Amino acid sequence: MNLPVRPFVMAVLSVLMPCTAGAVQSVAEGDESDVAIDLDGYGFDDTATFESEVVSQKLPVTAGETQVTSKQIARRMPLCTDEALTLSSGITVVQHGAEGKGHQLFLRGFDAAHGSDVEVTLDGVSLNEPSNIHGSGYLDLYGIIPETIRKMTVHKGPFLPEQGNFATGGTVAFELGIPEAYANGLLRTEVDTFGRTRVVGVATRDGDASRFAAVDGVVDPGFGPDRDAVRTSALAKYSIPVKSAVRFETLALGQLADFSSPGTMALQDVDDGKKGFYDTYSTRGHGAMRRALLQSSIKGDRALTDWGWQLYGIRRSFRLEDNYTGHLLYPAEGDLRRQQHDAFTVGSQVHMTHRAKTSQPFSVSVGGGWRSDRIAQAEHQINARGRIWQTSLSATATLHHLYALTGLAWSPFSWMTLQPSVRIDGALYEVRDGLADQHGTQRFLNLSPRIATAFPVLEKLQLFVAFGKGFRLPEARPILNARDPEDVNLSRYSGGTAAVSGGYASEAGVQWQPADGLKLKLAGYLTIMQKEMVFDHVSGTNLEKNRSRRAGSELEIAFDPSAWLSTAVDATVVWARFVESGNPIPGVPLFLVNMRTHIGKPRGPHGGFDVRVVGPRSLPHGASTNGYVWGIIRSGWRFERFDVTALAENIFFQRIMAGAYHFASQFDDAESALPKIHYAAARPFTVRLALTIFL
Amino acid sequence: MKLLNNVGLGVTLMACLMAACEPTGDEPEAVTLNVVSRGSQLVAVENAEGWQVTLDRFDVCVANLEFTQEGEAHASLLKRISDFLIPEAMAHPGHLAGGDVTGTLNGQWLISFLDAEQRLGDATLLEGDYNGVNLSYCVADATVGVTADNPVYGHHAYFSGVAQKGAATIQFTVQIDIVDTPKLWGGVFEMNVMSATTVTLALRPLTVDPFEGDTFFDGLDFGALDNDGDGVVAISAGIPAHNILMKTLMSHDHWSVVATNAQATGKAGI
Repeated sequence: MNLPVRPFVMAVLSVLMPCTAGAVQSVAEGDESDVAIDLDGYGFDDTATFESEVVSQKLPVTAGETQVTSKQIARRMPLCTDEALTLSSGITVVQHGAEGKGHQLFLRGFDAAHGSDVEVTLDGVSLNEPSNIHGSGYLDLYGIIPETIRKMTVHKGPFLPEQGNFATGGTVAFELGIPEAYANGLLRTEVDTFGRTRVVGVATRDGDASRFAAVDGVVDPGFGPDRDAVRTSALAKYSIPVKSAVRFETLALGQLADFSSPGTMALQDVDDGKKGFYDTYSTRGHGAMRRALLQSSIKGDRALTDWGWQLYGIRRSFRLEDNYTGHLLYPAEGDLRRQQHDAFTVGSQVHMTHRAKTSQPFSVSVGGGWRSDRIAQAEHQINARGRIWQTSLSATATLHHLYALTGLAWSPFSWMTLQPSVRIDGALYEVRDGLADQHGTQRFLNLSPRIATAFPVLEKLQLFVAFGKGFRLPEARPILNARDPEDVNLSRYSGGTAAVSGGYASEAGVQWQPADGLKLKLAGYLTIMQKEMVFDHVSGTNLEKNRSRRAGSELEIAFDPSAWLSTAVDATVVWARFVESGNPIPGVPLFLVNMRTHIGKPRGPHGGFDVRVVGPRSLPHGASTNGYVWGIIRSGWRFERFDVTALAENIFFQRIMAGAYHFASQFDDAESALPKIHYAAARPFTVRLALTIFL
Repeated sequence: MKLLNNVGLGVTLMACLMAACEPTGDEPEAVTLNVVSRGSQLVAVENAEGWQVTLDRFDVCVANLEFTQEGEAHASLLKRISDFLIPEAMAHPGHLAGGDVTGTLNGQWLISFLDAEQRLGDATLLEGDYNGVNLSYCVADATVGVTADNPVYGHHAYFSGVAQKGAATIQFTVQIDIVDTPKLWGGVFEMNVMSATTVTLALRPLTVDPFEGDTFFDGLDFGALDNDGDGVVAISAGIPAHNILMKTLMSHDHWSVVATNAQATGKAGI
């Protein structure tokens, strides 16, 4: 089917992505309906066509492992990758800024804030930013264009050797590649009732899922004041065979965003009628970020040995101005604060897995890596005109992180697979405080033993037991401020103690497939953290707290009775408490329930809905907030070469406090300086129209 | 009919969901407690230099009391022991040193601690387990009812008394002018405040640090300060003795708040 828009689309893509113009042209000249996908090196059938699911669904290694396929993501049509995260069970994401600022993540009872307890990797490269001024482990996933995700694997808990820094709650691994549904690329435009407009273009070379370029851009006036944002991302990946069973792969990513920072709103002001639910205090908050990432790797996949070597570099700049407290801290000047963080990262890692020729399946894996983050950060108090009147932090640091790991995968019996592993991490920090003219260095060492066991006792019944240690390397700041006197104003907070923190996690679970198309999974887990890390949005830093304990269970039911109907329900309950006091860990929902249904074939009408029920949340000082129900419904028609879909979000017309906090603020002189509930509002009822043209 | 029933059930369920999910929250209960000043702990002391010091006047201009909870930054027993050996930061950032501010009493007062108890007002505290108190120092002037003929006028604090060592007797006066941030963080306030708590809180300066035993006047050799030998010493800004006393006045170990008629408290004050 030749559409008249095709030349226009190609011209646009040629302008947007000159490096792929040739690729677009070659696709245009190729077979439109039956292009084979070259999957050499991925271990898949290289004759796979568009109508088959590309990503294999291998058996999970642990009970907490969830694989989200590109097909599931494509059905959901997320506007950003953080939204795709919610396709996994047990994950809640909250945006308390505007598009461009990292989301707040909740996983297995962790308020990972901006990433302090969830490791996220992109084609093997960790995206967590150690010692970011806005929270160690800060994550920004806006650079990943959802249409380019081939597979998202969520490993809850730290049970596998490759799970590194910040994986205390778990790891989310993104693999990039173009899904079969639009293997030649696409052009998509989305507009919603608040004027938010997104354009995305994806082009592949010869329909090869691993050779593509993509670009997206969002202009968002915001659903309320101070929520406007502009952002764009560009991604390109190229993979070629260099010799038999060896591939070279390179990935480039660039992104930028400028966004307002609405801050939070005191619930009392809304209840008193002083403010509307979606209002802000007009604090002139603003943020900007830039990031470039380049990764190259070479991978070998022979009969008995897989190996890979990766080299990467990341350049990142982040600037945020926000004011959560009015003029509580500085009555005369106001509490508007600017945080600046610039980082340059280089790293390299290797891995090898060798399978032995024995009667019992046996393989050994080894790996190692080095990463160096050179950072410069500053924090200023600024006035309404943006002029700095006080500097509370100005520092540079170089953080070296080395690791080595080894593990086995051994099946001594047909009904048992053991995966013991050990990982050792070392770090060397060099920090210079520009204000105090101090300099310090410190070394850290951490050993993480882990084991994951699976018992495929029956063909359709597997049991899992796992145990492991997760860890966080410390922030750079405490190295120079390890002993703050207790009777001074710690406006220059030390960021906790200069030591590795972490904890032990265990889980047990069962997966049962009683019939074709029906899968049930039940897991229970217990995690004990030596030190809790809670992100404080007032100060913009991670606060170190006492020991904590989380116990919970997860239930997943997936029912795919036919090719045109799939439905899934998952429920997570968590009991997250501080050990000494028995008080709940702030912000963590007591339960989370997701229901997802999709109806439709690859062509023709399609639709579905997602409903999320988030339980009540405890807050500091004994406060609490209720839960909420959120839903999205979509309906569309997929034609041969294009698709039209309408989506309605927040279909229950709820006024949702997506993020809830308890702290003091003073935007009005007469206001009490005692803590009160503040919230970050979720998007109100919104209708979005998406038009997709498949190339 | 069945279809109608199902639709009705769905509508009802939806309405319940929507009603149940309106944004609401539960705040901890706010408790109002009377606050007074008390000078009972301004006892005569012998400082490290051997001077027996007795105060006869101790006036401080105080503003804005803040009551704080350490929350989950409490140390475990093991950690308390290790902190005793190797102290480390247990504080929050910004104004929250020593804990989250969850109780306040705003105002400015010139408090003559050695006079009769003075009512400062009603503090509002959220229910919780308290561990500290912050206060600000103000300059004594007409806003707190001080006239220019008062020796504390224009200063943050004024005290006077007698220091004796052997046969030597020194009459001293002190005018304190605080430089930088005139605020005290982390004064002693250990109390479990519940909705039923009805105590009166007393703000007390302490001449003896209850934890380390040092005194308010350690580091002062009154004899050496009496350059002209007339037995009278006036300490004011610009001399090292003033800075010693200024720092001591701002030391958290020399201030406490206690419950005076405990009826529902979980802990005794110090």
